[in-house]
Order: sequence, then structure tokens, then C-alpha cells
Amino acid sequence: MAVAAGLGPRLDRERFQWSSLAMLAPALALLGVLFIFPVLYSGYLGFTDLALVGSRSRDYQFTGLDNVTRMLSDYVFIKSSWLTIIFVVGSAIVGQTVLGMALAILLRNALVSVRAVIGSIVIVAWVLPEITVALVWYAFSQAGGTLSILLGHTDTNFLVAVPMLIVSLANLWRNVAFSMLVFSAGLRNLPTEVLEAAEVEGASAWRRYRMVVLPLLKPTIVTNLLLVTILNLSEFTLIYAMTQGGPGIETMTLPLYVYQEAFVFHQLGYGTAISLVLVLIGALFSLLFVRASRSQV
Amino acid sequence: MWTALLTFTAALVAACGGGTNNTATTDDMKGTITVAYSTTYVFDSDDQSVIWWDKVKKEFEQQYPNAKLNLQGFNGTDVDLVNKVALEYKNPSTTPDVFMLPTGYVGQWVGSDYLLPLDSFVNDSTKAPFWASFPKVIQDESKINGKVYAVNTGENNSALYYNTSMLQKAGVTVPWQPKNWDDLLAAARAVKASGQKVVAFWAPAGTSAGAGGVLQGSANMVYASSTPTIYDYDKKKWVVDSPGLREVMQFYKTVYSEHLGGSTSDLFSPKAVGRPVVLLKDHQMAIAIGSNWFADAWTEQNRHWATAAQEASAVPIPTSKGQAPGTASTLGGWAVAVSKATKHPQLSWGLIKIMEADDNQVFIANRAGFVPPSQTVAKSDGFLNYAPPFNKAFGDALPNSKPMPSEQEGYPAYVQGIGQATGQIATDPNTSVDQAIKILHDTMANQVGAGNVETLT
Repeated sequence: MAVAAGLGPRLDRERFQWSSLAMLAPALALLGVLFIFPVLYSGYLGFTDLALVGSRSRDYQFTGLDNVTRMLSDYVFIKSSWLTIIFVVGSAIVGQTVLGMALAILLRNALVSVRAVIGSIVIVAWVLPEITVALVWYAFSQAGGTLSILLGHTDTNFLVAVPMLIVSLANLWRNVAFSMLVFSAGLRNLPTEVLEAAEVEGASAWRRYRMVVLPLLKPTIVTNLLLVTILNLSEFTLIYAMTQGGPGIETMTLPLYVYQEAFVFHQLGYGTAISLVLVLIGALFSLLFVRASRSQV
Repeated sequence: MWTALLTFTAALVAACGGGTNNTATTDDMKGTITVAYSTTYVFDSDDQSVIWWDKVKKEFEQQYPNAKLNLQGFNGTDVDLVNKVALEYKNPSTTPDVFMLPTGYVGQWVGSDYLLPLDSFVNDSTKAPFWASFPKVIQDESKINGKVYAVNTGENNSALYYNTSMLQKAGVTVPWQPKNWDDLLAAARAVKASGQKVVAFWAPAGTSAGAGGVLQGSANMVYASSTPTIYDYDKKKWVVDSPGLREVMQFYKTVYSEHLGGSTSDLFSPKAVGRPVVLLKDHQMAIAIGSNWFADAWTEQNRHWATAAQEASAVPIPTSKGQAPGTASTLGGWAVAVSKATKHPQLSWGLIKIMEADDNQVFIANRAGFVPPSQTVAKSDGFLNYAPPFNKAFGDALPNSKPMPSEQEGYPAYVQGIGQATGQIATDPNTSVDQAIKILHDTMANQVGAGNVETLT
């Protein structure tokens, strides 16, 4: 013990230098003022009856769980939550991931020229400003639009007949390039020897994909799922520009409902409360994916 | 998550405001005042907005040589203007001295205790020479709890536009003057039956056009119905079911089940408010519920319809069964208010006086498509001859026009509810009247609480 004491503190232990606090203080202060405080404070505002204008814009109060109980009996909120889940699961998780994967695999085996052309087309859709995509799909799905001509129902306004499907497809069309790029990169990095070994053993293409490619791609898939979920959960511009949440409330996902409550109905407190739910849903999905990624070998 | 973030930020800015009221009473007519207004949502074209405001600024600074006017224009819609300026009002140091706002929001600003009562100005004929020429309905439009808080700068009201030759081809006698809704439907049916490939009757429905779409659309029919009440001021409740509302829903059901109305592509377009202007001009529409500004829009180069006066006409909207007063319309426009936080109330009023001067009123009425609040201006040649014969027709319709309930927080929800109800009928004419009424009821009860809505019998 005396020897150890003579050697001073262990050099391999992580040391904390109190002087570093002084160096960190400016960054910490900035983070605190610009990030941590606003987040905590908005958490508080979600439990008040704050309004944008009117008497409650000045004399707002902490209302406890009023906003939460109101949410539970708010049929628009409940429908909106379902629509959000349908949108995220249908358009982002299933649609974007499956189609992105399919494109990535097909393009991998395609001729270079085909790959370049198809890849470019898909990426152009992604590079287009969101508002342009919204206008393109708006025109595409109207009565007399290209979709109605293709399907032989020129009198049908598909954005009114099946609004959620159309906005989901528009979103899928726009965002599939992202997943395709992620998966292409993942596929390029797969060890070729494993695939070749499987091929020599006589495994069919499907079997090779299922037993070799998919397990090896798992970290890529999880990362992709995490990113597309977070990106799509807060999708606002595309839906708002196409339908403004309508007809009725048929495409009123949570971000649109937050906007309506906070900036159309001026209920900032309630709008904040709903946006907190949106954050919670995002956190929940993220946790699920992170857990799923840990379980891999 | 930008919506969430935006809400956070707005809520934060909103909550951080407050501060003390400025109670300065001295005003030596020196200093700078700021006026907040919409650059894109008032005038028919943005360059006209620049011309008008520059003229007002120049006149103001000539008249008050020690003062400066700071023009603070906002882009976007009326909703954008209100949201942005609401955040400015959270702190006296960012509050504009004068605010030109939609009349429908004055009540909410008063509810926030942001505005200065203007009674001492308007009741003094030397300070407000124009006030006596305002009809009572407009004087009272921004009167809340007995005090005047804003001065109108222009109104929009509604009537029926029709294409004369289309009605003639359909066998309807012109000049056409429907006495009730059956007359109106009969003319629309005749147009449809005559085989002309046009929209027989434009009855605005749906939510995409927001408050403007309801003001210039379905709310006219509510005011023309046998129960012309949207808000019950005695009981302080919203009317979500009444014989009149049922007449309105039945009327919409008839229009859309007989395919007399517009397509959902037009009705639910984000540009729905402007669609009838284009469709009438392009000879694709026979009759439309429309606003007075259509006529001015046709004089503009971009929507030019040189022969509008010869080809089209306008008549007041008849009441449902022809009951007194025989015609009806909504009324809504823009007004100027002075902030309580201003250090220069006299100077602020000086600005309003210049904005209300006759020549400035003629300009804004013509280029923004307003019916001027001042009857002197409304009867002046400069206004009447700008877009004949329509300007006169809408000016005449003013006395039977009624403002929307402005001092109530639930109005945006009412707009949403009635928009959804009429939109549902336009989407699916099999929707029953009960179902449509239920949409309005549920939307309102959900937003303002079941205790704040009522059924009139």
C-alpha cells in the first residue's frame, strides 16, 4: 500500500480535472440557455392553458393534467395519433425500407448503365424540394390528373377519395432514395467471401439473401429504420401542402394537428402538450430500434 | 420535429413576454412609430401595397415633420400575419404602435388587453372627420364591451355573381333576382339542364380556404337562413344546430347531390377562394357566391376580364324563404388599431387619420377590392367608376351585411367545423343533414367544450 501511495494516482484511471469545468462552462451555458432550459420549459408549458392571443396569453395557468385528460377524450387527437402511426409504419417503415432494399439489391445486380439511370431518377425525386413534390403529386392525383387517366377514372379526385394513401405514396416516392442509398452502401460493404461460399454451397438466391445478406445487413437496417422513423414522424410540409390535413381530418397527422391547435386555434399550451406526445412516440420507436440493434451478434 | 420545435419556440416567446404597460400620456408628436400590416394579403397585387404604404408614409412625415413612420410589412396570409404580430405583442419593446389587422381578430387582441380604446378620438369630429360617414354596423364592428378599439379601413361582403348569357341560354329571365333559395336552385338546375358544360353554381365548401373561404362562402348562407345566428351573445354559446343550419346543410346537399356545384379539385384547392374569379372569367361558371373583390381582380392585368361588366352581373343573396330583410351577407374586412403599449397615441391616431383620408380610401378600396367603410367614399365617382357595375351593387348590399363574431376564441374552430361539414357533403352528397350537423357539433364541442355550444330550436 505504501508502494502504491508512493506511485501516486493510477495513470490508467480516467481523471477528472476540475479546471476543465471552466473551459466547458461557455459551451454548457449555451446548451443550457438555448437547449436544456427551452426543452424543460416547454415541457412545463405543455401543462398550462397558454394561448397565443386572448386573455390566456397573459394570465395562463398551470392546469395539471387537464391537457392530458383533454387529449384522451379528443377524438381528433386519437384519430390523428392513429394516422401518424399508419403513416410512419406504412409509408416509412414498411414502404420505404422494403422498396429501398429491393431497389438497392436489384440495382446491385443491374447493368452499370441501368443502375446509373434508375439510381439518378430515384435520387432526383429525393433532391426535389418537398414543396415541388407536393405540387407534383397534388396535380397527379386530381380529377383529370395523370393517375385518374391511368386508372380510367377521370372523374375521381384521388386526393379526396383515398387521401391517406396518396400522401403516403407521395412521401414514399420522395424518400425511398434515402433508404436505397443506405442499403446500397451496406450491400457494398458485405464481405464477398461469405456470399461466394454460400453460392458454392449451392444456396439459392433467395436463401443467400435470407440467411446471409439480411443478418449481415441488420445494423444498417436498424440505422435506416431509426432515421426514417424520426424523419417521417415529423413530416409536415408535404402533407400540409397537399391537403392541409383534409378532407375533413383524413390526413391530420400529429404535426399538422399541433400546427392547427397552436397556430390556427391559438391554443399554444395544448399544442405543446400534443407535440410532447409526438416526442414521446419518437423516443419510443427509437428505444425499440436501439434494443433491436443490441440483440444482434 | 420542426413543428414541435416551432411550437416550443412560439410558446416560449409567448410565455417570456409580459412586462409593464406603458401609460405615457404626453405626446409631443415627435419620434418614430411603427405600423404592422400585411404586404401580401390585402391588396390585389403586392406592388399596389408598396405604392399605397409609401404614399401614406410620405404624407405622414410631411404632416408631422418631427416624426418618422416605420413600415413593418409581413408576408404570407392573414393567419401568418396574426401569428407573427401576436408574438411581437408579447413584449412592449417589440410591440408596433399601430396594427392593421383582420376585423375578426380585434376581439382577441382586446381580450389580451393589447389595444387602446379609441372613443376619445372617434367621438371628436375634428380628430375623426370620417367617422360620421361610417354606417352604424361598421362603427360597431370593433366595439367591444362598449368601447371602440379599431377603425375599419375596408370591408368585404358577398353577393351572387352570374353570367348573363348562360342564364339566358338556360331560359332564366335576366336581370335575374332570386327571391329565395328555391329560385336560386331553380336557376342552377336550368343551367345544368340546358347542357352547357359549365359549373352551374359555386357554393364554397371544405376547409382549404380557411376563414376567408367561410366568410365568403357558407357563412353567407347561415346569415341568409331562418336562424341567422352563429354566436349567441346572450348565453355566450356557439350555435351548432338550428333550423337555419339544417336549411344550409340541406341546401348544400341539394347542390352537390344534383351535381350543380364545383369539383372537389376546385373546392378543396388551396386557391379555392380565387377559383370562381378564374372560372367566371373563363366562361366556365354560371352562378357563384362571391366576394366584392372579384370585380377588382378582373380589372387587374393578371386576371383581366375586360368585358366583365357586360357579361356578368351581381345580385344580393336572398334569404332562405324570402323572409325579412330579404337579403343577407357576411361582413369582414381590415381595421387599424392603436396599441396600449404605444408611447405616441396622438401620433398613432395621426397615422390612422391619414389612412382614412378620402383619396387613400378610394385607392385602397379599388386596389384591394374593398367596400369603403365611409359612405362618402363609397358614393364617390372614383370608387363607383373603377369596377362598374359591381362596386355599386356591393356598396348597396352593405346595410344588410353582418360581421362575424369577432370577440370569441372559438371562431377558428367554427370555421373548421362548418368547413368540414360542407366539405363532407361536397365529397359525399349521401351524407345526411344529421351527419353534417354532427361534424360541426363535434368539432366545436371538442374545441371549445360541450358547455359552450347550444342548439336553437
